[in-house]
Amino acid sequence: MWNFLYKLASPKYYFNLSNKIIPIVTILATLSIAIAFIWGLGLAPRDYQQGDAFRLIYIHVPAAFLSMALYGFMSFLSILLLVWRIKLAGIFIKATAKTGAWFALLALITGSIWGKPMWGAWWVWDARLTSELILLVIYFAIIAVISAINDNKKSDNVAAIITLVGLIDLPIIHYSVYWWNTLHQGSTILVLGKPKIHSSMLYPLLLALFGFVSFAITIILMRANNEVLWREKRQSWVKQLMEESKI
Amino acid sequence: MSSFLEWINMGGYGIYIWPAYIIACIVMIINVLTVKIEKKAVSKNLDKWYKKKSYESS
Repeated sequence: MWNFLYKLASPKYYFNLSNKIIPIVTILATLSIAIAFIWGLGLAPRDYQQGDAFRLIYIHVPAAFLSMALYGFMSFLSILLLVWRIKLAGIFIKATAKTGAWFALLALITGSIWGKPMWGAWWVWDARLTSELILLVIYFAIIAVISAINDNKKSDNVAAIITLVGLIDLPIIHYSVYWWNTLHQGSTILVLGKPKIHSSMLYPLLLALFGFVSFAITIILMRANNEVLWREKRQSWVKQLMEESKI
Repeated sequence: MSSFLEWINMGGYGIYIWPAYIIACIVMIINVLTVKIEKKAVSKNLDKWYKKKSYESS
């Protein structure tokens, strides 16, 4: 196990492994999202309160969940980079930041679209909405810093530090619905406890969640691969791949 | 046909649901396209870099 993790820190080993994984996750993502959307839009029954409007859950919840999960992953990568000096972690922070930002944006947009018919407003300065918006701004800060600093080592370190500082936003988003008197509802799916929606609505949601996670993995691996090839251009294995036209 | 139109209408909420799903698909497509374009750019830049390197060393 440890041997595998040590090997994984090598860009060359990671690159070869990821090229085997990417086709699999791509197919998983495509199928899962397609089936989940068809199931959620067509087969899941109407909600007794929200009617068909609840179907936005199949985008909104996976996007919001991923915006936070990817940020958590980036925080873990930041520790790997700052403490253990694993350069590949820096590459992954860069790859994950853009993807996470897109999901945070998607969560805010779909949430806003959901809010108009349900709450009567496109936006309220609700605790959860505001803290998710702040998460998006933090993502933008990380992306901006990475593109502003030319030296990869410096930009990785600064991005990692900003990520860890911004980590405080994650528990705020998660607990906002309990700490404050919020308009946004509480958790539907709990780690410990029964889910608060019926299985006919829950199963497509779980599938959509799985699909979005697979999609994020695909995109992140592909982004990281591009970055690895460029950063490792002085290595002979990259030159060899280039000559064999495998890039 | 009318049940299909009813389904599109989504009990009146269709005007909110369909744009949201279309935006979600667009976001996913943008991500895929961005990655593909980046890959082509990296490939091109690597090519240039290796040519420059071989020119410099020769």
